[in-house]
Amino acid sequence: MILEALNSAISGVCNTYPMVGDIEATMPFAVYNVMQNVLRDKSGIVGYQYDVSISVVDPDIDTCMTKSSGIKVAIDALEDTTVQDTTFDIVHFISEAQRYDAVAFNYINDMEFSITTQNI
Amino acid sequence: MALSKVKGYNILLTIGAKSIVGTTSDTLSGGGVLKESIQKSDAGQTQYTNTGFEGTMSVSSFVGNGTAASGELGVKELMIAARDNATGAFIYTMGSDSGDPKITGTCTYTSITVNSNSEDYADCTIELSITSLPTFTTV
Repeated sequence: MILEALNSAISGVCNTYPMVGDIEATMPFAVYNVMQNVLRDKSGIVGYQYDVSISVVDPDIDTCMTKSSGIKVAIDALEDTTVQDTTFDIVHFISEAQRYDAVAFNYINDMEFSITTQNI
Repeated sequence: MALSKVKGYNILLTIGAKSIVGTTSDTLSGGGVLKESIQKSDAGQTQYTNTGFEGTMSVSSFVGNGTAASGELGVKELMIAARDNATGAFIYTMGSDSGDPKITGTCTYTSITVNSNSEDYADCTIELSITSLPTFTTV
């Protein structure tokens, strides 16, 4: 499963959690979310394209960006590998944007990736 | 007979009894060729006569490396066929059940376009001209 593979890759850099529900986590941490698109030819499913969002959270902007860089390297390294039974074909970093949560006093770096896999 | 909508993936094209591997979509278009004429005895009414058929087919598919299985056309075979303007007998079926429409005829490869970007699987588009009067039968 791609979620397990992503979790495995990101957890090597910092604490990570799927983006479901409230999270009480030790900072810095990352949350990730994936949206699956199915690739088909007329014979059936030939792969999956995922829009992957990863947000890194920390009160210190430098730490936030350093962890983000580490995650980018870890995600890029998934290309042409099989992790947790998911075979990664194409991995692309799309964009990132920083913001500040004035309520929680945290910096957040939102990153977007496009990932194409041969299986789920 | 009640009509039922045809699922797109059930419409299949074979050329020389081979399908194009990785096909994601295909298009068949065509119609009769009208010849227009008028003479004095037509009393001002233009006359139209069917003088044949012109049609094209277009197929979009993923590009795959390696050797195509028997019964399949890979990108290498398609590029050779386009280069040589190869001709083949085509069968275009709109379902696999008895009574489903089937079009047969002869087609010629006219071109192939390979599309690739930096983010997705490469794909290609194959253009074919229908070079005989197609026959409309059923599966």
